[in-house]
Amino acid sequence: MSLPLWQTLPVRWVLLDRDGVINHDSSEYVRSADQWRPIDGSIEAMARLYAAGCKLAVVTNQSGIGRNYYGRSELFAMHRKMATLLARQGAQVEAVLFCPHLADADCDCRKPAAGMLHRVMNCFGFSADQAVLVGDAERDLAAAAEVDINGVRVGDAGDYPTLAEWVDRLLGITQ
Amino acid sequence: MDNASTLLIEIGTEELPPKSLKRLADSFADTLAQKLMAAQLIETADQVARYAAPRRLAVSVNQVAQRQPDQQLERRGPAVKAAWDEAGAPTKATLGFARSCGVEPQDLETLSTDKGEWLTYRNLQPGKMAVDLVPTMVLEAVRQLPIDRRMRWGAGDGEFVRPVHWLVALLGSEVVDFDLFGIRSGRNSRGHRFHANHDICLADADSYLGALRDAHVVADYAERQDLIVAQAETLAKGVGGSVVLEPALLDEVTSLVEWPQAVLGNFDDEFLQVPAEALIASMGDHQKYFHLLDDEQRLLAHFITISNLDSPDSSLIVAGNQRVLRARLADAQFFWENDCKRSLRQLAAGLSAVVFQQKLGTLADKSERLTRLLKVILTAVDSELDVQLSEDAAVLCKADLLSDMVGEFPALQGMMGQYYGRADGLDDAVGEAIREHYLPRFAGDELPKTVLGAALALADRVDTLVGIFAIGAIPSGDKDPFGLRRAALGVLRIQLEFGLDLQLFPLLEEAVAGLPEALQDNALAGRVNNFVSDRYRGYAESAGYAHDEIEAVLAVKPSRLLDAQGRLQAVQQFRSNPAAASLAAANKRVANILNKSAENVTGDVDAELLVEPEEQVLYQALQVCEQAVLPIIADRDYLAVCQQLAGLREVVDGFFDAVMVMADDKQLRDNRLALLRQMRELFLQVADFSCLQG
Repeated sequence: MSLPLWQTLPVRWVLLDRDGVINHDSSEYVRSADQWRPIDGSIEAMARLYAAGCKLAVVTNQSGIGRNYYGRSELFAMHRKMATLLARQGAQVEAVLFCPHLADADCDCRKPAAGMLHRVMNCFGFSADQAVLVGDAERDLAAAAEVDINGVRVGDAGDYPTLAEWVDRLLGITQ
Repeated sequence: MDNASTLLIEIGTEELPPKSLKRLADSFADTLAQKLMAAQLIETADQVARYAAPRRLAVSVNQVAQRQPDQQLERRGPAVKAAWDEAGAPTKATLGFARSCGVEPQDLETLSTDKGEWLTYRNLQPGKMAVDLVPTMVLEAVRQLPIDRRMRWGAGDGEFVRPVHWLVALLGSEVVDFDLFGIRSGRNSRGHRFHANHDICLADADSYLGALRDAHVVADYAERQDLIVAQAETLAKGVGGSVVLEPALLDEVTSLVEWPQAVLGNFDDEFLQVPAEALIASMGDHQKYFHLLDDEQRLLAHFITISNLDSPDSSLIVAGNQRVLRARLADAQFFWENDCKRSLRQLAAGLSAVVFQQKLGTLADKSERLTRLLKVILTAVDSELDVQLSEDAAVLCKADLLSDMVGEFPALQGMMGQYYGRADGLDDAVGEAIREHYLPRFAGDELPKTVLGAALALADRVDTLVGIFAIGAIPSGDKDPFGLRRAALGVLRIQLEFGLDLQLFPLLEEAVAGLPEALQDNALAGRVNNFVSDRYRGYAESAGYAHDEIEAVLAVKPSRLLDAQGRLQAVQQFRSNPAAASLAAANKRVANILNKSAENVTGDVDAELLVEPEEQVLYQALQVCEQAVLPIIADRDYLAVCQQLAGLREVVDGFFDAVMVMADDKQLRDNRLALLRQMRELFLQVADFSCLQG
């Protein structure tokens, strides 16, 4: 019987970028729950993390709202879909934070700024060394570095091709 | 202690009432112990031994001091600063204090403490002698005995539970001299009524038990009871059975004998055709006999009686008791056979001549109402019972009240109905229900085991509650002549412990609709419902739930008691969750905000107006939580619901830390109020958590 993950690793929180990590990204933006399609294995990977004792939070840039491509209602509908899929696996995310601003809005939340990370750490009261952030872009890692959280890059340009593979590695399921 | 000896007080009387002997002995000993301790004559109540037999109440107290310790008296007077005036004369305060102590001002001492100096009066009061203190204590303890009805006897004006004939009061070997009811205390006790009916002179207090034993009296109540149990069990073993020593009967018998001698007797096997309950009632109620059972719990044709005599020839005692019992059992047999000549249905026809309550009609009217209510209850719990069975049960359940047997032994109501129903060839379920509908008879009594029995028991209690409320005989203080509190407790237990899951209020309304029209009243069902809810508060509190937990659940007005109980368990468990306090506080805060806000918060949350991350997070968390919670609410898995709700703690706290609810912008403000209302409604699915204290 192996120990739960959070007892062997300092990691208790996994912060996830959304588009390109959990669901397929689109250059046209993901604009509705229908268009929101999880990457194969990502929901199951999140469920495995949750089952291992990790808490999950999503931190995502959604400038599509600022551009009026879609509204918050649509965005929440996407997240409901994600929550439903996770619930079927017995898992949940503690919070989804998003930044609705455009790149030139000079806000403190759009990654690579670390505003969303600060907020989620404050709200749930954990420290940087207890968390890891998984993203698919340089700005995700930059935001993580800003608050001294370890970053992991997944995707074509990343250390692991998918979230699922990183999770498998972390939990020691495959080599 | 050298100067300590045993104190013995014995009040000799005529035969004391057996059902209160134990209570009298306890009260006498407890009061005396308390007074002796207060006077510092003994150290603990353990020094007091209590004795009780049919003709005596006694206490023996070991190590009683001959004399109280001296009492050091110290009284503090005025401060030295204010004690003397400039001329050095005592001030008024000093004079007054000295006078109250009975000394001159110059005799007062000075007491120095770190807070200043005071005039003090010290006096050593020598302790009083035990022989001087004991008489008052005994008289006081006698006066405080819990006696329902006092008797007067002879020419004196003494009043006691029974006439008093002798009084023993010894401290060591010395008589403590005083009067009780005109009887002078002495050292003479008396022996067994028949074996040694003469004075027994006690040399000293310690010789009490031994001297009485020599005179055929076992004065120690517990010892006598142990003797009875041991003797009875030995006799029972001898005939291959076990004796049933029902505690109340055992106490009564222990209170009736000074020198117990268990005797085994037999009765004719043919009586065993009569229902066992009737035979047992004949033996126990009337004769104070114990009955015996075989390995399979069947009644044996033996009995055990406890005689008060050592007889050289116990066969005489046995024969006498058998002769008396035979007559009793023959009566029971006659009742049984006579009752069997009529069917329950024939008996039931007579119910229209028996008044249940003047305004509520006869027992036949009640049976009719029960028929209706029973149908409603069985429908409500989706029972698939045959309609004919339920009608039979309701119509016949009171019929045995008209049988000879129940007329003689009222405690057999229901049981005899079951026997007569069986003799009539009625379905077993009907007979079972007739017996069970009287359950539970008292707090802690067993419950019905069949659905029909439980449903009929519920119907009967609901009809009584609603009917008696309708005629205005509502319990107040300790007055509850119709036993409505007990009935309400039965209503609770049948739902909660038997598990009859239904909505009480509609059932009460049905019961109101079945009353005579003149008694129907719109508010009646509500009043009875409140009465039952109040009993539920007490029931739940004695089951270990906290007051505020109960209020939190009742605040959401659960329509089914079983449902309320499920919520209550969940709320109690939720309390031990670390998130509970903060969520209770949040609920309180939200309730206050919503109550105070002038705007009527009715709209839904507009997701587009959620601008702060913390309110977005809360909104999404609520949505997810709702999705998770609604299906389990339907399953009434409130524990799981509470666990889900507990998960909201951080986002709720985060919201209140970061978001200003009463924003200047009306749109934002209304939207936030709507968000909070959504959260509050989610919690109210289980209970009103704002009721929870700290």
